[in-house]
Amino acid sequence: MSRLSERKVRDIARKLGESPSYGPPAGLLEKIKSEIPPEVTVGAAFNARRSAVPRQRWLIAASLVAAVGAGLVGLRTWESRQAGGLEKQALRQVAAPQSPAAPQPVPPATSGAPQRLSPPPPPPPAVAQLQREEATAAPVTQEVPKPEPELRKELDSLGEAKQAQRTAPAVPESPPAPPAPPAASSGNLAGAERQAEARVEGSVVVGGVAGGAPAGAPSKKAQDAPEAQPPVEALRLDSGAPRAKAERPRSGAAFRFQRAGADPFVDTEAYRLSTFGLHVDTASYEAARRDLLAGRLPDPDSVRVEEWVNAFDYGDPAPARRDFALRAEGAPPPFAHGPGRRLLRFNVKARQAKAGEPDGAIVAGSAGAQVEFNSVVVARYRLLGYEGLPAARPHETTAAAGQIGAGQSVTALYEIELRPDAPRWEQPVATLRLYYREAGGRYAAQELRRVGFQDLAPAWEQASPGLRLASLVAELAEILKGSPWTRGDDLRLVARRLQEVAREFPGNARVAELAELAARAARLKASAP
Amino acid sequence: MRERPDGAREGRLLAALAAGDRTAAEELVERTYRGVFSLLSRLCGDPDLAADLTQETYRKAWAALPAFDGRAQFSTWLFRIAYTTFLNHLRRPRRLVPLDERHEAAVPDPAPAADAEVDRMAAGGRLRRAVLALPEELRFTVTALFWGDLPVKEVARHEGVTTVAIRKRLKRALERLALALEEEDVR
Repeated sequence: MSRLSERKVRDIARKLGESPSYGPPAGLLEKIKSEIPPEVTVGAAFNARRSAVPRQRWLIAASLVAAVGAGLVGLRTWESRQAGGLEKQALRQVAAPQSPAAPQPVPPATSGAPQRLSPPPPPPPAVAQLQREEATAAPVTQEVPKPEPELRKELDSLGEAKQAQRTAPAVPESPPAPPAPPAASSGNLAGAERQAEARVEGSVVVGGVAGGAPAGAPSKKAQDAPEAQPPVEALRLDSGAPRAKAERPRSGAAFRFQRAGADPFVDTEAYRLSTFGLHVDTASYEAARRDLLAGRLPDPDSVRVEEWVNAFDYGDPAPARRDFALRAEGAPPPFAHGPGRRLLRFNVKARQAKAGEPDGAIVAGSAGAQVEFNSVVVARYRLLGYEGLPAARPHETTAAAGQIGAGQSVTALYEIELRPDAPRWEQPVATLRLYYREAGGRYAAQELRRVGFQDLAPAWEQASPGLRLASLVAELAEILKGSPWTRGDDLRLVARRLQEVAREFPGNARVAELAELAARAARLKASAP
Repeated sequence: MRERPDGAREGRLLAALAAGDRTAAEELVERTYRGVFSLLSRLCGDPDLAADLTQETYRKAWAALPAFDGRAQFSTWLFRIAYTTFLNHLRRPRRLVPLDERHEAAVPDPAPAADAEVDRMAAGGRLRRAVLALPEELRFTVTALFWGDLPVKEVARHEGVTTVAIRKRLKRALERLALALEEEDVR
């Protein structure tokens, strides 16, 4: 840019800063105040966040005090050991006849210790006592450093003992918890945290790993329940209170599930950005599948919609040249949930492994996905699944955002509500962005895919087989989970539609099995009291 | 010069509001309404319209407050509602105009519509029109930083991007504005 342009740019910045504004007219303040509703509700997420901050400060302060205290105690212990050792050595010298060949004790080069080096000669009884002590408690004085594996074992056993102490009151008379299902024990940090949390509370979480979150700024979804919907408190089953636990799962398994609740719709005028995680487990579906095959309905708390949705391949093509392929499409949902409702399906698929690359080679060292809704077109939205998971921060292309391996694919579903008078031209409905950084790469890259009205099928029946299958999988999961958003929907109809859709996936035994499982679930549900 | 938003004070007021203290809502209004009005009047160039939109902004804010999670400051969150309220107002008359669906995807960015609409407004300067004609991402950045008096860090937090990204956006926006005004001068 030329110097002239640079000056112009600075000039623009100055003009923007100086652009005139009017003072508020008289009476405006009173008018606004008069419109404050009698009862104003502040978000539970704000309250939780606010109460967490002082608690965090106390925790930090307590940690500091504990660390300093431990350091002081450690120092005193070390000093006393040093001094004690020297005293003992000195006593030994006094007790034992001096041999010319005996090596002289070497004082350690520590400050403070020399004062204790020359104690007055102890009386003989003390020498005798010391010798008795040495004879009976030899291991104490012989401080042989343990090999590291042994220390680890000790730490592990200590941890187990503490854990047993903590879990014992939580699960009285319960059999030992079985190992978590294989898929739940992935190496992902978030998954590990969730499992650790569950173990402490005496339960095992079968669940995904992805961090799903509502808006870019917000982490929790808004309570914006529509008319004829249950109150917000009922929707957010775990809000405010400690997470509910199923006392005894219907599946008969010895582990319990954390209830994730169902997230409400989010107003796009307040929060138009939403993120979803790129690492999604499928353990919830596998567990439910086993239950249904065994003739049991799955525990509603075990059903995680995002894990069900990502348990299936929707035939999204892998990118030909680029690292990622982004797909976005939409249609009315399979069951009418309200006017203007549409279901959007977003898919992010990584390229296949290149020749010479190992299986699952890393395409992106870190990546995150973000959906931006156009508030002019979309009144509100809800992300299906991902409840209670930590917010993904897609712009922070760090390891926390998640890695993506070759061939990996993730699908996210959103239910949106279009504004009744939404302009149907010029306007994108939503924009999917993928932020990523190659493994070891320095710079972040971005892929983008817009969804316009042209991407929305006019009817569910005219949507792509992938979208129809995904919507039915989510519907089935939400019904089995007891989501208030699918209340009244007929499981038998879901099963029938799944059978129809399965025909469009010839040779896909997994989809065919799902149709059968849905029919089985419908029968079980009908016969349930 | 209006005062900069005090995030800590706003947080305390919201906590009081959550505890049922209605006067906290009034103080929140007192602390923020000048900023909201100032932003809207700069955006629309019409003080009467800005006053209406300010009232509408607060109505929406009370309704949406259950969704507020405190990650960004209350005033930043309120700014976004005011900004969107203005854009929605701008587009409202055009919603009645029918258009052949074949042309739906012809124009990908909503900015030209805003520009054309604003063009019809009696008041308003060239700079304001140029700002409103920017692509959404750049337009929001410029208005938030210059007309909303929001700190870069707050805008970045609310937009879910880094402060570096916001500065880059701002640079791009200013270059575009300089270019647009230069072209207008030539014409």
